[in-house]
Amino acid sequence: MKEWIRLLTKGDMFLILAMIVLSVASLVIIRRSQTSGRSAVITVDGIERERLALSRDRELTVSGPIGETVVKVEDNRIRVLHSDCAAKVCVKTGQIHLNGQMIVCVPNKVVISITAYHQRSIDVVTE
Amino acid sequence: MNRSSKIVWLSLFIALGLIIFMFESYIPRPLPWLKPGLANIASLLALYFFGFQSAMLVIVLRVILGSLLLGSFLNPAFLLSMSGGISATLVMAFMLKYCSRFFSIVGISISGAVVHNIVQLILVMLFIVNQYTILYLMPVMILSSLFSGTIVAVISHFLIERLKSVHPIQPKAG
Repeated sequence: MKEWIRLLTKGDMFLILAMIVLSVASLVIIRRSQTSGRSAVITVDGIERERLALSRDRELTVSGPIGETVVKVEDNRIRVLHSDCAAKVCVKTGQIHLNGQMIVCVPNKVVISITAYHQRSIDVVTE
Repeated sequence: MNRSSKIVWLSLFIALGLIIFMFESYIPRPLPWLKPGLANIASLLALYFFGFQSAMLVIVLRVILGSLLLGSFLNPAFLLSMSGGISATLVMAFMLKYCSRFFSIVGISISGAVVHNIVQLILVMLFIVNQYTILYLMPVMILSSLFSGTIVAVISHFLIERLKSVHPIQPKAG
């Protein structure tokens, strides 16, 4: 079993150490900069569908290309209760509440992300 | 080595990758968007024994066959794993050819795993999520690639050693 440790060259060790240092450092920076969000934005295929305050508990359904995604807001957190997709990655992601956290359902093209503010950033776009 | 035994070996590698891939997609994982990527053993073996073109063939066929078995052919998840697999193989082939003085199979496999994850995350950001905050997942993905890349490398290393003694195929490199 020790045989493979002798495989490691100096380059390997340097690569592994550099990756560990970089990712641990950025994890710390990210965690420190994240605060609890105040609202959640739900987009389907890049188009904003709902913008909800996390302070009010509710349950709602959005429909995407392959079916419905049921979302629940509770205790200032949001999660996906049910989705018509096969892998259920969105359901297994669980609840989120920090700014920048998101739940992504690739098959149904639903993205739920947490933001700090409850206003729309752009009122209207004219072309 | 003649052409037909090369075809046989490559088919074995594809079958190996396919079995690991199918098995992997059914075992429960702590983080649903993270997969160990052990199927990379197949393309790594092809790369070491037959070179870049064969490794590319193995990864492309493995992804296509795997998606047909899982029913995800041509959907976004399929396109993600195809682009991740191709870019990882490109990087591993490059490193094997030009940097094998500095890196062993461990370093090469880890770079493949890291590139696979980074490419997929960037594609998800550009085409699905449209928000840069998804990149916050990058550190977790890189840490897990270090772990899985090492496991893949160790398994491949022992497989290469055994295969060398079983059959007169000799690694092109390493």
